[in-house]
Amino acid sequence: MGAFEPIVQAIADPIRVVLVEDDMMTAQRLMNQCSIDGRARIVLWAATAQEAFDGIQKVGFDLALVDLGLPDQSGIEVIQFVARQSPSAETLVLSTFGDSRSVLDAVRAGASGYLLKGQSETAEVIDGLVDVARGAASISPAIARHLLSSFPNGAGLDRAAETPAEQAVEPADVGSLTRRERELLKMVAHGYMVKEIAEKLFLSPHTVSTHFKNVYRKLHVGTRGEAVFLARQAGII
Amino acid sequence: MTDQERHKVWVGRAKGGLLIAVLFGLLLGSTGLLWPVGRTANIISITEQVHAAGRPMRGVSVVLPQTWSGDSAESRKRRLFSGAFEAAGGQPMGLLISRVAGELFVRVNGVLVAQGAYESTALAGIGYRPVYVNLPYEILRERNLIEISLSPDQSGRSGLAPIRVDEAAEITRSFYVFWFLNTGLLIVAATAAALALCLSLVIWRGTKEPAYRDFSVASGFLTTFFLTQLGISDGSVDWAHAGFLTLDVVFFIGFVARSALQIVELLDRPIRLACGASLVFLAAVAILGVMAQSRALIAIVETSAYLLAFGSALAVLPRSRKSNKPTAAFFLLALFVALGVSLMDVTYRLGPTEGFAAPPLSELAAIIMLATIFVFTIEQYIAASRAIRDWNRQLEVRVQQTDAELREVYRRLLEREKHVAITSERHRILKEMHDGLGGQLVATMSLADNAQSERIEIKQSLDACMTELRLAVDSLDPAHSDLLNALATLRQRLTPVLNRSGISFGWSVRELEQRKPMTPDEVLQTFRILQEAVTNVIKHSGASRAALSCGHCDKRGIVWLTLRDNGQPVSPRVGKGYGIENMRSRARAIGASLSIRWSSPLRRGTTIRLIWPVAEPLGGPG
Repeated sequence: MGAFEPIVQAIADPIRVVLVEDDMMTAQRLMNQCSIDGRARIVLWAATAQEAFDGIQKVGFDLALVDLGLPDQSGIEVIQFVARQSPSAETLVLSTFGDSRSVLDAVRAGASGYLLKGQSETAEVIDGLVDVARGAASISPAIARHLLSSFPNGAGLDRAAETPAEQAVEPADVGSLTRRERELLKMVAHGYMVKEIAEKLFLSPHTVSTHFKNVYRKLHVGTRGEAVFLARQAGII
Repeated sequence: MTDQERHKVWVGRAKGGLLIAVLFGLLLGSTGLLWPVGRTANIISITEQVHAAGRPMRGVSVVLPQTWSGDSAESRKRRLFSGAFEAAGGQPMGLLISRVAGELFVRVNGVLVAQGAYESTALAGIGYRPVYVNLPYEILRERNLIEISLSPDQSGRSGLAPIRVDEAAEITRSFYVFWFLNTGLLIVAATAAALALCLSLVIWRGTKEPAYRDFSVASGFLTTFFLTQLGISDGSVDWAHAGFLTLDVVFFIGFVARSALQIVELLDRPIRLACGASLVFLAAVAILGVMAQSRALIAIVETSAYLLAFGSALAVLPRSRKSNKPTAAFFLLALFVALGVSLMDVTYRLGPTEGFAAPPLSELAAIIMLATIFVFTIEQYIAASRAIRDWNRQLEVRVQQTDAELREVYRRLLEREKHVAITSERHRILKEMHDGLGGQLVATMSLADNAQSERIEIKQSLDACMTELRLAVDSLDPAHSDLLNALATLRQRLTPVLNRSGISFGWSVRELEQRKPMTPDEVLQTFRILQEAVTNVIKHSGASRAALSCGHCDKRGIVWLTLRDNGQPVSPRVGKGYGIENMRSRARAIGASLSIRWSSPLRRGTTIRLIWPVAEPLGGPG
């Protein structure tokens, strides 16, 4: 990404963030960092899921940062709630380890990736927030690997995406990965950083992350219908 | 294949085969019945045409298949025709002799005048004797035909002139046509009988179910008997006839043997003895009768045999039914009837033929015997089917039980395996916590206790704790059973750390041919080796670049992994201090070997190389 873009955006319009985190220290550090950086602004801090449910309906926001281990309910519920209430908003999971299981659960619920807790360079955290707010997604080799195995093999799609023009076309079938997505995921799983992949394939890093975002969306779509159905059953919506 | 399975297969085959044999037999039986009728009608109409034309008809030459007499012995023919030659002085008259289903019909100018089971009976009935053989006997014999013309008896009935030669030839031709058909039928019948025999043997071999065996014996017997009687009753091939008779005997012996066993079980000793004694007695009287050529004696024996048969069968039937052994009654019946029938045969063949009519019971007895065997066969079939059905049901129940038991055993086995796996993993994680994270935390605590400690030191120590914990968590991710993926994660973890120290981290990997997934322990040890190596790079090398590469070598059957830097020269002696022994022992623990080439003034950069042997040789072109 270009070095000046975030600053331009920060001046124009800081990202409105909802923070759902029960640990006060972590929350405090994030809020401090945001106020120092200026590119993001915490509009709501909820320490419990219930607080989040109440607050989310009242504030407008671009991004939700959700910790999974909340005292009253699982953060997954909050992510699902956000996905239903504010479909335009992005969600990120705050994870201690960034382990693939919890992140994948969150992605299924509608999250666009994860943010590692306790990263000393919190400026990087804000970079991550900005990226995600702009439609990117964070990914790790283990998650890429899980994603590769959790989608049916898109062998039939390979033929359809042989020419560059066709590669850009998204397949109607959301249940499988495009050839490009598969390729990108494979590179991540093999240890290449987003920047390296972008250089290798002559793409912008943002485009590469957007691909991951699309994959996440497919994963979420697979479960969204079910979630809506369950919610209807429970009388929530 | 188990006994039950084999049994099922046999029974399946037997059922199909039996059905085919029975249908085939029925078909043949019906053709056997139809053909002789057609033939007779044909001859009669020719005869009548000749007569109606008003030509002088002095007699009809008759051509019959040779076995119409049931006996082709030359002596027998001689005996039959000797009288005819003697009486050749008189005028021959038109006569047609034909045989339908074993019965001999004698017609004079198309009008039925006599019939009987044997030629002597039939001829005696009209008072005529054979007078001459039109064709040379050798030729007739070769073609299995006899041609006879008959002259009136001494009683002087006459008035019909011998048939003209051309008319006789015409009639003869029509018989030839039939003869060919008859032979064809015979061949088909032989095939059917052979099939029945094979089938019965198959069932006999394939099943231990007694009802099925009885059924096979009886059905085999029935099939061949019917075929013999119907298919070849007018047949002319002696060897085939003999073959069929042999088959009948085989089946009948089987049937008798099987039934005899039951009857011995079933009957009381006195009855058993009485039956045996009466059989012996009757046989003795029969032999005596035959020796003395006394027809009266034989007739008495025959009639007594029938009476005994029905009487004993009736007596045994209720008892045999009660004990579910109907064979016994049928056996008794069949035994005595068989005796009677054979006596009847002996009587006609050996005894004087003139002026003797067969006891009327003979025909009836044969029919009853066949009917009883038929009923018995059906009954046995039903019993057999029932037995098989029960057996199958039991089998199914047992299979279900065994299946359920197996499932249960499998489930327990899985549970146990799971339990063992969980326990061992738990032990491993505990050990890791104790050795790794625990030690690190204790060290951090003492740092925190020490008033002189710098905050930055404590922070670094906590960072190390966190790294340790993250490595442990990462090692548990199933995705990391793939070495390349595990390395990728490690890179992601280490890159920010290296970058912060101003070191770029190069990456050069290719798809690894990995045969065996790595265990969490192997992953963790590999992580730690590399973590240690990277720490060395950061702390001691002063390098600006580090690079990790890995690959596999098919020829040597190894997977290798290299971490290289462009750092300062290091004395190997000093290098020993950098946790190298620790790394080596970790490598040994996971079956890998670690080699280090230290950076020297001549060659900058330290290289650490880990090599795993691949258990199986790697296939495919390298």
